Amino acid sequence: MDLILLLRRATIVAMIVGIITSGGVYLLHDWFHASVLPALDLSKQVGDSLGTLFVLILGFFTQRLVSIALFRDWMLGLTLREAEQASRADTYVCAAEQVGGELKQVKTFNDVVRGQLNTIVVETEKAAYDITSRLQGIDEIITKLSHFVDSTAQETNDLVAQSELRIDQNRGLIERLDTYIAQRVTEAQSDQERIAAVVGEARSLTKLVDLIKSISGQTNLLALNAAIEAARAGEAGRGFAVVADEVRKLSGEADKAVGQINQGIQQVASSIESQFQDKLAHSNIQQERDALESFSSQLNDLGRNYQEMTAHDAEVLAQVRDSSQRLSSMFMDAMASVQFQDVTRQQIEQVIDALNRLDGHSVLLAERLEQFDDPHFELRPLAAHLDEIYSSYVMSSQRDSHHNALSGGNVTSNDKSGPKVELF
Amino acid sequence: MLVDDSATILLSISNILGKAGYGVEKAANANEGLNKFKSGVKVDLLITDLNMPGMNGIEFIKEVRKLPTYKFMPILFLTTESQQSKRLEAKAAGASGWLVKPATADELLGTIKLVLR
Repeated sequence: MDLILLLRRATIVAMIVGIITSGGVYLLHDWFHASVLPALDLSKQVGDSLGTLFVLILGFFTQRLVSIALFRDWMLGLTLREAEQASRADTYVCAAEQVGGELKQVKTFNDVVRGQLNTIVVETEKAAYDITSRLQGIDEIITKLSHFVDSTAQETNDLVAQSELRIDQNRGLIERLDTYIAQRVTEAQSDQERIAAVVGEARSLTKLVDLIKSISGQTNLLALNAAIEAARAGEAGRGFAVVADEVRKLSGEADKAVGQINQGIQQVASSIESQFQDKLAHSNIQQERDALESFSSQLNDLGRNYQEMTAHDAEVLAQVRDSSQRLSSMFMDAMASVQFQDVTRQQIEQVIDALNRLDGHSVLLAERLEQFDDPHFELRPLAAHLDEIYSSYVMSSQRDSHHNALSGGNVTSNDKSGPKVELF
Repeated sequence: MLVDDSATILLSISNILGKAGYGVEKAANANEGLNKFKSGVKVDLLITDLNMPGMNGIEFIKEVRKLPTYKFMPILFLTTESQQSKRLEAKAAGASGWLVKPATADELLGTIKLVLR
């Protein structure tokens, strides 16, 4: 309660009591001097003194009564206030004891948090190690694949070289086949002409046969004339008649032989024609030519297809090799990014250090509450711990976070960090 | 030689270096690394962390520089520490370069090539 309120209450009570007392003295003054003093046999001075004393005592008690009536407290509210303050002091002590007890429990609380953080460090380290090991396994597979691709590419190159050689050989073969086909056509035509000439010559023999047949007929006619002339000569021509008869018989046999020769020549010509007819037929030569050309074309297609296939294989291998190299590069980056765990671990260790400091500070606060009346108690402020924590930071990001937390905004630290890579 | 107290860093960085064709000698702390140097291990480059339990990176390279064989060997720091003051301290102790974690494979291999040149 402030003094002004107390003074105001005392003034009000004093005025009320003063008015009442003054009124009482005014009303009872004559009665007091006329009746009370003579009855008690007191002089006027003694009577007035006793009366004043009585009035003062009465005024005091009246003030208490008025105070109770107005403020429900016989000391203008001070008694209630004191009781209230005593109650608040008890509550404060109780709360301080509770806070002290809780502050002592901060370490236990922080032990739990530290335990969790340590678990995070251990688990992330294990996870990062596992990731690295798995990446290592993946890299071994990629390396094997890369080696396989290299060896396959080498084999493919060899195959391509061999196939190009074979294709060149095939081209030579095709050219030879073309030449052979042309030769075959020329030879077939030449054969056809030669056979036709042979057949023609064979058939031309029939003219000689006809000539012989004509000579034979003339000989027969001559023999007949000779026989007639021999008969006309009589006995002298008998011998000549025999000769003429023999000549006629010979002529008949010669005629018969000529017929057989002619038949033989016809048979030989027919046989040659029939023997070479299929072979010399133009359609057969064309079929043979078509077949050879078809074979040549298929050989050509085969070579081209093989070339396309090896080119495609080379393209696939180049693609796989390129992917393999990119995977290898990604593997390196992934391996490097595992360093985040080490960075995080150090940041968490910094937080654990801050929790340790908070432990000590909490214990100190609890002791301060217990020893509140010790004027020599030394309490190290949190600000000093914050400064020490700041000086132990190793990363500029930690310093930035620190400044941001203190300023409540985006403030970058003023630390003197160098470049990420530096050569001395 | 690669010196770091994190097993994950040892594994990942040695993999990157191995993939790039470098042979890697590993040590889990400064004392282990120093013992290997004292036993005469042949290495062309030392890559070390700065903040390690026990002997820190700067104390470590000071000890390494005391060994005549490794007086001129390139030393590269691979650390989360970024402050200029620490770099100057490392430079005075005989370091050749500084690389802040996390470093990419290109940054790491590029820096190694430069310090080995």
